[in-house]
Amino acid sequence: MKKRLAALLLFLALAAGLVWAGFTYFGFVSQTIYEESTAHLTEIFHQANQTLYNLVSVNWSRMRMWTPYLERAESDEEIVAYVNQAREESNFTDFYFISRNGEYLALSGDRGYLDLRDQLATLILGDQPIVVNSVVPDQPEIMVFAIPAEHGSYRGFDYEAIAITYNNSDLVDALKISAFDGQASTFAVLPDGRIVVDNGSEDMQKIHNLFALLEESERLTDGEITTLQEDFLVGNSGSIVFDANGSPYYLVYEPANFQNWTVLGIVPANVVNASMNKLQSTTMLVVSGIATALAVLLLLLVIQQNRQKLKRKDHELLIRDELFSKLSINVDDVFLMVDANDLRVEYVSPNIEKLVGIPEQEVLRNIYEIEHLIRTDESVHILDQLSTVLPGEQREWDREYIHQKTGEELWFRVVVFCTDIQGEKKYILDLSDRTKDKKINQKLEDAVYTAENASRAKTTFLNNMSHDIRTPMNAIIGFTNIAMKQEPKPEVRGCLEKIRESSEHLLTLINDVLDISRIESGKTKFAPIPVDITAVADTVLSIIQGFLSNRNIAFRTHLAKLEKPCVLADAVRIREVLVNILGNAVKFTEDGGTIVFEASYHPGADDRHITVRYRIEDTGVGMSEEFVEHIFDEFSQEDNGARTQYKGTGLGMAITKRYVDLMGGTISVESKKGEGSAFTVEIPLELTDESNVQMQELPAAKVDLIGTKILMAEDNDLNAEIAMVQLEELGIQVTRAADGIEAVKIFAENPPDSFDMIFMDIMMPKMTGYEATAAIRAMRDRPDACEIPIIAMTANAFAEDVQASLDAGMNGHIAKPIAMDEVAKTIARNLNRYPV
Amino acid sequence: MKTKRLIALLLAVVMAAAMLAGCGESSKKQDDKIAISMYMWDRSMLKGLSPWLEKKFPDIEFTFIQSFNTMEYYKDLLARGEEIPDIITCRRFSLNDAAPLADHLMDLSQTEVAGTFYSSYLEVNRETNGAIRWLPMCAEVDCTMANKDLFDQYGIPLPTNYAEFVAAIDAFEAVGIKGYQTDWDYDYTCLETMQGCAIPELMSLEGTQWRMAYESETEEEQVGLDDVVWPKVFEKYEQFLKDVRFEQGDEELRFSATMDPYYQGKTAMVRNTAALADNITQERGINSVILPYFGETSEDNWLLTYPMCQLAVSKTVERDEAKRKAVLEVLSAIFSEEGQKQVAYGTSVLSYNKEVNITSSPALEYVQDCIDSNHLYMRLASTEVFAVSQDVGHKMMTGEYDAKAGYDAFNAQITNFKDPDAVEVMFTQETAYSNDFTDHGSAAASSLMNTIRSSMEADMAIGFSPTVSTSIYAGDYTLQQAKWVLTARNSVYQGEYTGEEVWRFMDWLVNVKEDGSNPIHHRNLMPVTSGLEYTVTEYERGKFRLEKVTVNGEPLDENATYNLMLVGADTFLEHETFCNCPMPADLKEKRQAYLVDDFSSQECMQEALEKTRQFLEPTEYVTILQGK
Repeated sequence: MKKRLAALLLFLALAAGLVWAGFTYFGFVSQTIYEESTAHLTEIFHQANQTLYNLVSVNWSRMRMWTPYLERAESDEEIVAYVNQAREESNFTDFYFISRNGEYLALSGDRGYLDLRDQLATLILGDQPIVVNSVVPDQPEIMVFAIPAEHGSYRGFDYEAIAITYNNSDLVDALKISAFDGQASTFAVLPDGRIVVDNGSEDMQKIHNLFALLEESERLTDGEITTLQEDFLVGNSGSIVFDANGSPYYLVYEPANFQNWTVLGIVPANVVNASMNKLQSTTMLVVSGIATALAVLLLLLVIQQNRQKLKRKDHELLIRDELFSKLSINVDDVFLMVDANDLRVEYVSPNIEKLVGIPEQEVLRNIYEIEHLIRTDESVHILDQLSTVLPGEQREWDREYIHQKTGEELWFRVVVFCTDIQGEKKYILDLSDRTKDKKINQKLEDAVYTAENASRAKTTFLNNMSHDIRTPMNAIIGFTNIAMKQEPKPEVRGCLEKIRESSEHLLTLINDVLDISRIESGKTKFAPIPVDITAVADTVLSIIQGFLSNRNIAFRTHLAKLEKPCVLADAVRIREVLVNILGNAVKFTEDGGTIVFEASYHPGADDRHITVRYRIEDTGVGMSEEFVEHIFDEFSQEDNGARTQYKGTGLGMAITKRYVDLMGGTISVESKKGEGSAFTVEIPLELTDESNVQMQELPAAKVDLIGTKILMAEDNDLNAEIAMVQLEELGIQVTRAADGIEAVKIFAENPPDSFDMIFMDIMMPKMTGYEATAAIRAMRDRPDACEIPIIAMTANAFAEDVQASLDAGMNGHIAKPIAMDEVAKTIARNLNRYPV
Repeated sequence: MKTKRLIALLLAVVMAAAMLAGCGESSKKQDDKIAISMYMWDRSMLKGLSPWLEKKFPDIEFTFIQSFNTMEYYKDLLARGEEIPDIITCRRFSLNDAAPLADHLMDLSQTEVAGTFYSSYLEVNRETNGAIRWLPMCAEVDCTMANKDLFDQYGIPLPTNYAEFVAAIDAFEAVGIKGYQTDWDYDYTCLETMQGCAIPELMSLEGTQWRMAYESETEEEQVGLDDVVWPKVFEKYEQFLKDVRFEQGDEELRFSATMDPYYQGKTAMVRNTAALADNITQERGINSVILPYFGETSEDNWLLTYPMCQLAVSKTVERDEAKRKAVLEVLSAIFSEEGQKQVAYGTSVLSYNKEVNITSSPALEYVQDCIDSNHLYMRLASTEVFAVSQDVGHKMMTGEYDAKAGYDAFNAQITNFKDPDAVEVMFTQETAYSNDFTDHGSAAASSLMNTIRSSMEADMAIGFSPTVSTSIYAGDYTLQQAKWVLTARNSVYQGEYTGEEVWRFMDWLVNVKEDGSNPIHHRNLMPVTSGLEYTVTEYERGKFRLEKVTVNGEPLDENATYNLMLVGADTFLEHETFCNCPMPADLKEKRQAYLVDDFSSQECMQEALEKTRQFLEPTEYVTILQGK
């Protein structure tokens, strides 16, 4: 751009230079021509002036010669003869004898008065020759040349002067010049510009005053005219150029040297300068031609650039047009452009007939054709809403249309844009066919609905299975435990031991299956709470000590210290992960082996985070490389006969992996068949304040529950029996209710504080545990109704079941099959009983 | 992009400049007419010249005012702080009279129109500084008009020299016919007859030298009469009065009293113009011819002439170049052949301009030798010469002065002339009234008419046409100044008229007649009334229709009788050459009966002002509507 600007400036400078040079040259040439021409003209008109002066001088000379002769003439006839001879020599018009009073007598005897005004006194009294303009009626103006004469008489007429007269035309002859082909004018003028001798050329006819003529010239200033007037008055010579009839004229002047006349010549400048003008005009023509050519070249350049630009724009438009045309045909959108003033359709994409069944031409004729597409009349007409859309805005409507040819039901999204195109307001309508989307969405909604149903069915199934399996399992385990306490025979005890082990395995299997299902369904949530992370390892070690009690396994720990152990963590899940891994280590390590547990803490992503790393190594049976790849798959167990030796569900490691993933951590395993395995778990944790850390639940311990009175609502007789037996073994007095209604009734009918606690089954006929709890809590006349701890004792063992119980107004939850240690801890905790 | 725009802009500038350069002078405004006011020395100019100019220059808004035949009026305007109108005309002219106006008039010497004049005629008006401010209109001949029929009837030859002139008078006297009579009352008659009888002396070398000296006199250096030429003038005048058999009382004769006997064949010769001679020949069938002022021989006979008028342009015109050009174009038109014919009506003797041929009047048949020999004397016509000629002439007529006393008295007055009417302040006008003609007429005219009516105790007064030529100014008024308010000394009539007659009178004054005769071709000619108001519609430019006449706002009662005062001369209205609108015979007869003898409108005004000592408040006497 800068280069172009510089080029332009250079061009302009050159052009200005050319113009300046042209003007300078023109001025120089004009001045030279003027000087040469005026010099030439002055010379020519000086000759004419001299001719006039000579005429006057000669006349006076001759008249002086005539005077003595006339005085001496002896007769009038002699005078007549003499004067006629003189007329032939001087070519005057008339000869007059003039009396003292200005009367004249012509040779012919005609008399009259010759009005010489003040010149009469000059002539008669001043004895001076005069030249004066005069006039007699019905005669052209005459020029009178008179000289005084001695008193004489002619035909009895006493005269004191003689005069000859010339008509204007006679004097004109003296001023005539042969040059310039008759286009030169010669005048004799008075100081006030009045023309007294008029030898005007054709284009200077009917001029009576020179200054009146010059006043019309735009070329002359008032000052120049004033100077000219002064020149005429004082008798200076000079020259000027003036305009007349739209053309320049040369004017040269010089005094006539008699009277106060000025003789002047006027010639058209183009006549005087004919040859010079030709040279000048040719030069100017060439210069003008060059300048014009440059200008044309510049113009052509601009035009060419504009053309190229237009061509490019046309090409781009064609491309865009083609692109838009093809797009319009192949997309499921109909585009219209509508003039905002009269709703005249200026464009409609050609696919409109395909998409909605209305021919393009019909819409072009009438925009309201598209309103016929609407399936129901209830919809607001979009075209009526257009005026509310302002420039720069857009509005959208969803419309159900009917294809005008196929009758197909269609769903369209109509988008209206309002835009301003070079001052003209336009609406752009996009009728977007969303029928396919609508149908896909419908299918997706159906699928979601189906999936949700399936999910609900699965949940129901799992809940039901959990409840329904746990309930008999509660009986099996309960009664096995009861039987074991009856000091059975060794054979029976063996059987009971196997029943108990099998039951516990089955229960574990059930719990694992349920856990993995819940994890997969997303119902298991990661719930970090402020904890002392070092305490988690301690808890795990205390649990593992139980596993190792009957084993000869060397168990070593390396627990790192942590300055700030308070973190946000799901301690339960971490514990489960570690217990799971350590449990497997114990399980798959034969006696004499070694298990190492390491806990270390490492910097996290920032100051607020740390990473805890647990490493568990054992010298157990180890795993094959192939199995290691699938160790975290569900139900994966290495087929090495160990299954019979090491009982497991095949879900433990899968659950472990899921928990670690949930917490954002990683788990890796190294193993070698026959040598042992090493598991490394890393979990990122956020640091928190110490004050937020909850006290860790203490391990179970013996508490004194003797005399505790419990109302137990349980519809299943076996479960009720088992629970009562086991509770009564703890010295607890149990009152059973067979369902919720009965539980409420018993509570209500007994005086306050008759019971210390209520165990409430959930799924009971007539009235659920939730409803019964609500009924009890609603007893306003019983002060203990709100305070008595109500503990759910149910086969509904999932976390949401726990929450549901709490939400129903209960104080705790015990899952079936019941573990008496857990039951005792729950009772103690809720009755504020502490270990003794 | 910006570069291209710059180039395009430059090209546009160059093109615009080229286009502008091609344009000529800025165009003249189409709607704004140039206004030119022109004061006519006599109403006769309003007949032919003014409509001709209006037609020729449609882009000029003319205002034509009938003015006065004296330079004193314009001097008075200047003295009152007013400006000279754009174009002024005056017949009574001399350079020394015009000198005080020189600073307020344009120098026309370098104009094209001045160039059209023969030098010898124009030089007469050249001032010592070379300026020429007055241009003369073609020459009028004013000599002796003879009833050729009467000469033929009595076999008396037309005289060719002074002796034959006296003999002819004697011959007519012998048959009971007055040989020569004229309206001696007027100053111009005194002036012309006095100069006419001694033209050879006045045109002698001494005579022309004295005249040039006199016309170049200044206020400080007054020029008295020449003691060579002028004593002869009075001697010849004294003889002339005797030869024409002047009788006591004749000095009071006015036009009508002179002309009626001429029409009746009771007078053979009277002083008059060639124009009137032609008119009488044509109108009355009396073959009237012009005879010269006779000398001892026919070679000494001369015609007394004067320009129809002299014309000058106010210097204020030079302030506006467009107006200056327009005025000069108007002047060129006036002095063209066609223009001068509008003024002269073929009665002029010669044109002062080149390229203008004016056909000579038939009445000049018997003075052609004078014309051919250029024996055309231009009267000396300064204001003081008019006044002193009348005074001295009358005293010579009555015998109070002989030639010598006449010469002495004339010489004494001419060097110290004071117009008695212009000496004493008559009253001081308190309120000024403009003479601008609006849709409700002229306030000055209304004031004058209200003033005149007040002294006559008339119910209403009607002035025929423009009776006022100037605004009424606040300040002192001499009698002379008061007389300038009233244009002319018109006759006054007063008597009882019915409302119906008043209506018909107004109809005659205003409406265009069936034959197309139009008494008011310009609104300035609208009659001025007092005691009655009227409404007219200008249905076409310069054509009016009387719509309504009211008396003090009430409709005119056709049956009621009103004491009506009429002021005006019907010559202009009735004369075929002018308006050609004869007054209905019954009205004319009645009016003639109501003539107030020996009482002109000026005397009426003078009498009124002596009572009121104030021009009275004007009224809206006319309403001019535009319509169809």
